[in-house]
Amino acid sequence: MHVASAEVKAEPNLVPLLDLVFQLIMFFMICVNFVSAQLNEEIKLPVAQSARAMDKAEIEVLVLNMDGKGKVYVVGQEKPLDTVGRKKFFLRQYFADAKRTAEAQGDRKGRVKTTVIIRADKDAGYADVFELMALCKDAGFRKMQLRANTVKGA
Amino acid sequence: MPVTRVQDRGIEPDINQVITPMLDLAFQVLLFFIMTYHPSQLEEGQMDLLLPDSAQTQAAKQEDANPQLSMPGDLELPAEVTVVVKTQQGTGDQGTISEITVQERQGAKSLGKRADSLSKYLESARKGLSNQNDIKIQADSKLKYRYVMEVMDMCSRAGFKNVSFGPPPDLATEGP
Repeated sequence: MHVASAEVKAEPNLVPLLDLVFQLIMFFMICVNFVSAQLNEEIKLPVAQSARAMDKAEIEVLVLNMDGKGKVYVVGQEKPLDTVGRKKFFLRQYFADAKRTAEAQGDRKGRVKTTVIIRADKDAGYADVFELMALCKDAGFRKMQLRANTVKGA
Repeated sequence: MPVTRVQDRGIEPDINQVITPMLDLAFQVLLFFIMTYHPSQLEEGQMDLLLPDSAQTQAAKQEDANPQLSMPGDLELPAEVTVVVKTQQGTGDQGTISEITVQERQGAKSLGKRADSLSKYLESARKGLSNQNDIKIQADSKLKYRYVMEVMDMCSRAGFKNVSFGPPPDLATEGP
């Protein structure tokens, strides 16, 4: 076996490649952050020990954060939805948009797969939460989730 | 055939990987994760609700269901058991549970203020039901959501898979 006597110096420049890969990683991480940005950290959730772990497979979700006074905060809305009329208008518009998107994606019946996630504050009144659920149903949504903490004091 | 090694012949490969820029970027990634880390999200859980079309729950056959008949505000499943949760009306200690009543076909039973006993009672009552999956909660309008969730938690622990909600009875009587 013959080995060249001259020194072999193989040093590929990986730095630009690494820069590009990490920039791509950054991009995907920021995309993930957009989803979690829908959760309002100021909402203090009630405790339910039977609440199961969150299903990360849900892709199409609408997160409705309700504070203790019944105001609903949604990402993309500058002002909170504080009246029945505004809540109804927003939900109907959102459902109509989701239906159009489903139809554009090839679903002839325009079935909306969006899951409504209600994150209501533990001090909110039952009437406000029930009203929101009723409005969601009236708008056409069928899949709904309530969020709760599984651990006390969280 | 003898095995020859490169070092044996006095030739050392010069491999100098420049890892400093990679480390810089790795630290940026780490910083990003630290900034976006919310431990409270790990303790958050979900409770599913499936909202039936009331036209479909009332229709004898699926084909008979007419979406036009859907009543606004109706969130109820065909449950045999209803848990009615009352709170104090008027001034003072509003928003807490004052009485829990379980309504069944054979009558209503009051369980007092404590929600702890509800789970055991529902567990035994569930055995005699034909529909062992559905249950309905009907709470006063001023009852705080934390207590509604407590009652819902008890229903889930008793084995009911689908928990639905009825309109607040105090609003139904006062309202138009």
